[in-house]
Amino acid sequence: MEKLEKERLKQAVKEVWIRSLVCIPPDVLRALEEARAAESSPRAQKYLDILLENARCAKEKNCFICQDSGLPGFFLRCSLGFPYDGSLREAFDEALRELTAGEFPMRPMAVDPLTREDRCDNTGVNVPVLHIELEPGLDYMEITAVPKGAGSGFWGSLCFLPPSAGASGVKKFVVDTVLRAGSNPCPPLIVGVGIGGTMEETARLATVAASRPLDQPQPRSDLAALEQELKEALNLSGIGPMGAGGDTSVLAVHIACSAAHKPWLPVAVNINCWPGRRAVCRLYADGRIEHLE
Amino acid sequence: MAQYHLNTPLTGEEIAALRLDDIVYLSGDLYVMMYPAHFTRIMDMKRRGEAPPMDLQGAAIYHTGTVFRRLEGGGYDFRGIGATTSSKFNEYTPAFIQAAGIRAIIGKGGMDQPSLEAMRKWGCVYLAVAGGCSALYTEKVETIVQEYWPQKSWADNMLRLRVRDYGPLFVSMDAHGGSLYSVDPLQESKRREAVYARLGLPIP
Repeated sequence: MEKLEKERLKQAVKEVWIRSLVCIPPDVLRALEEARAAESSPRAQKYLDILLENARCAKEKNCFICQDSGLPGFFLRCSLGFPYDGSLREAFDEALRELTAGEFPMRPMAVDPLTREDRCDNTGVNVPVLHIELEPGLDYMEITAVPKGAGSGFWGSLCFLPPSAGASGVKKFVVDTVLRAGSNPCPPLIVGVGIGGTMEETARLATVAASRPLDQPQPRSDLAALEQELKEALNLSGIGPMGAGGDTSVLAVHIACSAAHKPWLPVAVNINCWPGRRAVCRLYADGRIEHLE
Repeated sequence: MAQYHLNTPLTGEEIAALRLDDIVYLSGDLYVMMYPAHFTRIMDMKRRGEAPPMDLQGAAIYHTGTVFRRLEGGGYDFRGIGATTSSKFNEYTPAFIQAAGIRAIIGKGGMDQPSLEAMRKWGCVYLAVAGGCSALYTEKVETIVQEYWPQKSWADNMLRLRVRDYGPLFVSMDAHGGSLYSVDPLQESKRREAVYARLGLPIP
């Protein structure tokens, strides 16, 4: 099979990244519209109207939903047989660099965490963050772009609970994390909760949960009940859209689980701001790029 | 709830008239302050008795990141603006309001009790924008008038923007001690109680 050129992969990365910054996912848009219809606070209604108007305006004008294009992150899925054998790091770095330099100018946000040294091109050591999952039989590479804004990302948290803490311990950690964030992370929020795994797996699960489409049901019935309970509870907090009060503090709470070590109950919370930015595309072996809703 | 169209620089009387939930549209100049260094640099100059290169008396400052390109032959291609989280600047704010004489802070998420107290004492308001709404607010920016203290990354520079009818801006902390944010620990604990009760968690 003919190998895919790096330029084709870069094109897919650029397209999906821009879409993630410009188009609010349709499921998030629907959740915002439903929240607007159910909201009782006039102030919150006004804010939700503006958020919805901004979503329409960004898509129409092909411009930023939010000026903070975030720290770039991507989840990839492909099979070992996918015909690209170049450096993924090089392709993703170049894609972000070329966009930042002028094709789609963005604020350069990636810096060394301690020295704050800035390459000024939205790349850095291991950034863009890449997660790669191998799945036999796929005849495409699926690329999910998940830009992480500073305002919401700052409030993420992870802890190791003792197993005796149980579901109540998980609930307490989740709501304490969201209440601590309060008005800061641009609510209404999409709250991703990772439970189980090793430390890095717990954090990854929380991120995966936060980017699950809002119309995709939780397959485990006990977790579905827990998600609903946490959502209803957090919407009693009165935080409201933009923290100015109201019924709509979270649009969803999503949970993802992996097995845990016997003496552990690790929990991570990853908070997404209201636009729930994400975009997915598939790059096929023949170079075709398909954008998914 | 009233609507105001105001021009910068702002006066104490104009600010005193504003109440929670009023809506403001600003025309004139806004000063982009995105990083703690912007505040500390101005304060350091004032402490040394030097005049900073911008006149902040009656000014509106904006906790915001912007996206722009300098055009060959001058001018700017201005592409994005929106509030950054204001609580990052809590610690710098009370002294800054007093020393600089600013009358309005634009941002998102609100600020703390000491900032609210300084707003009441010195006549300043907090105007909230809807966060993550670059598409709507960007078209209200006419141009960048000046960049201050150029850094390696253009995104780190302090800016003076010229805007027309910039808004809607929601009066969310007024100059009379009113705030929409839970700066009150009692209010904060009531929120927690409601959430805990729904989940059957013991209330501390």
